[in-house]
Amino acid sequence: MARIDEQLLNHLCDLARIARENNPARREKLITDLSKILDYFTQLQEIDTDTVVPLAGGSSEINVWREDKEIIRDGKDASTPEELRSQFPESQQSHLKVPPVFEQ
Amino acid sequence: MIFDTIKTISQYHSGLREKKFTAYEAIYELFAHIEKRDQVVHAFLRTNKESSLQEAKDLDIRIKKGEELRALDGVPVAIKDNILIHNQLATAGSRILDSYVASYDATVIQKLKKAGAILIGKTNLDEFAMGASTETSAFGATKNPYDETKVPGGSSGGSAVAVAANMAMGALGSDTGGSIRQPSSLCGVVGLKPTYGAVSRYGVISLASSLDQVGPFARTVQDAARIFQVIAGKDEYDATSHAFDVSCVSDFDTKKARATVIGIPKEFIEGEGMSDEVFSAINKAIERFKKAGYKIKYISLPYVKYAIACYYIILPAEASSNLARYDGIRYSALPDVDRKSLLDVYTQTRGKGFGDEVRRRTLLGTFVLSSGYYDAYYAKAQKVRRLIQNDFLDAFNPSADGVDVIFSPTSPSTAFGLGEKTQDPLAMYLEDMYTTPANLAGLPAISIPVDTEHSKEHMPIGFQLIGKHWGEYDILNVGNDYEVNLRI
Repeated sequence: MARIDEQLLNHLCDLARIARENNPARREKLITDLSKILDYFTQLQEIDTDTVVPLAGGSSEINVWREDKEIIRDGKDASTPEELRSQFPESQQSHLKVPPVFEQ
Repeated sequence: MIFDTIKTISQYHSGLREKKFTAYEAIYELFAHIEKRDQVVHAFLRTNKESSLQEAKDLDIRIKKGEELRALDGVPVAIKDNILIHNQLATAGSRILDSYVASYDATVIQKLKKAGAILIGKTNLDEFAMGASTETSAFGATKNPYDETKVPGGSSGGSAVAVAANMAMGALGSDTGGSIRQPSSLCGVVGLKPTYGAVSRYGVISLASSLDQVGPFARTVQDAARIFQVIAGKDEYDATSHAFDVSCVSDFDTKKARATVIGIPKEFIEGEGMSDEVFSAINKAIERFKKAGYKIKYISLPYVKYAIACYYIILPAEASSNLARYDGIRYSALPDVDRKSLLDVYTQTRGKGFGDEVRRRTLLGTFVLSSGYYDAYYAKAQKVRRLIQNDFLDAFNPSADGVDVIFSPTSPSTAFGLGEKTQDPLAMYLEDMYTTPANLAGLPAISIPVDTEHSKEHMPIGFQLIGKHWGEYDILNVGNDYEVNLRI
């Protein structure tokens, strides 16, 4: 089974888009906690699951389509574009503003 | 206070109809109580005093006109802060959402409003509902109302305390692995986690989408059933919601209840990790059922002992995917993030905005889904999840002499001390040992206090009843019989 080390922790932080922890004591604690949890998971390996069909979710529903239209509740739009835009950290005119993806 | 003398919503409505008091008087007194009591227990993140009093006034006018009362008219209900109410903050207990204002009502909120409920405030929770103590909230811990040095449980600790401390008649929480039932047990109230799909998740901030379910807290089973009836139902905005007739779930019938066969899994009552007080309380409840004539059958659910390991792989996997949306580009912006490069916005926002437990589970979820580890962890857990569900389906199977409901403790211990388990995540996870199986299998489950009187010396303990899929009536009906007739 896997061991969490410094290198793997950095890799996971990068994958999860979470800034790497710089404080050595906190890094150490994070590695210890994650390792303990992964150790606990090893008990699952004793179960023979070769022929078991995975269970992905709790629902027996099949996907249903609905029309893509504004939600009307109590006779009016459930939320206006202005309300939605007001939650953007940065915007320009009516657009969501994002830092440059490709630097020049 | 009016709400001290009233036990149920139906008594409250009788009082309103008979003009013993007005809704305004009741809600006014309630806020005076909240303002004092909540300084100590910190169940609420925000309250809506003005709008609540206005709604109470409007109701009084309608009552004067002789209008019929709707199911929850004038009933003060507290809402966990991961459920969206239009134009109100919805933080999910996280710094990353601390200025996020919801732009629409969750379906459950829409339904509560239509039934006349007064939404008195938003309650505290573990950050993104990750925790079993309400201590991981970015806005401070909530305290147990019977002992302020102890936790209320979690993650819906604020909602449980609001009801337990008489600051609300009902509350909504969300339950992904026990987040309604465990705090109910620790605070001495009733908490119902419905069948997966019974209640719409639209407008509920997602933790683990295949496990999350919204449900009520209440003082009595009767009230929990009434709130559940209001919020349940198929919703076109949640494709996993299911059309299911709940019109009769509160038609309690003692005779029918006592024909129920109760299964007691030996894994749940012999299991290690249960405290002595819980063990004796649980056995007291079993004796009461036996004495009333219930047929008790000892059963085995061989795979439930793997539930915690299975759950803590599946939950972080889904949570890390769901929480990917908190990227600093949408929702609130954190003040101290350098917004020059896109990658910096992502990593700094998430590094600063997420607390320790959320970060831990996001990294764990990223790990179990990552290339090279997926099969050994996530795919394995999905197979074990099937085996756990099969355990229940076998136990309930009518053609194999199956049981009708399954009995267990809700939580392995009474409320533990604030700070006692925060440094040991695995110890905190084990709090969920009796509750996660119902989420993994998608089954309805309820926690009911074993006894009525609680104090610092006699902290609350709940037992759990797990029902068949769509078997809410069975667990509510048996629970009501216990509460009304067997609990002395």
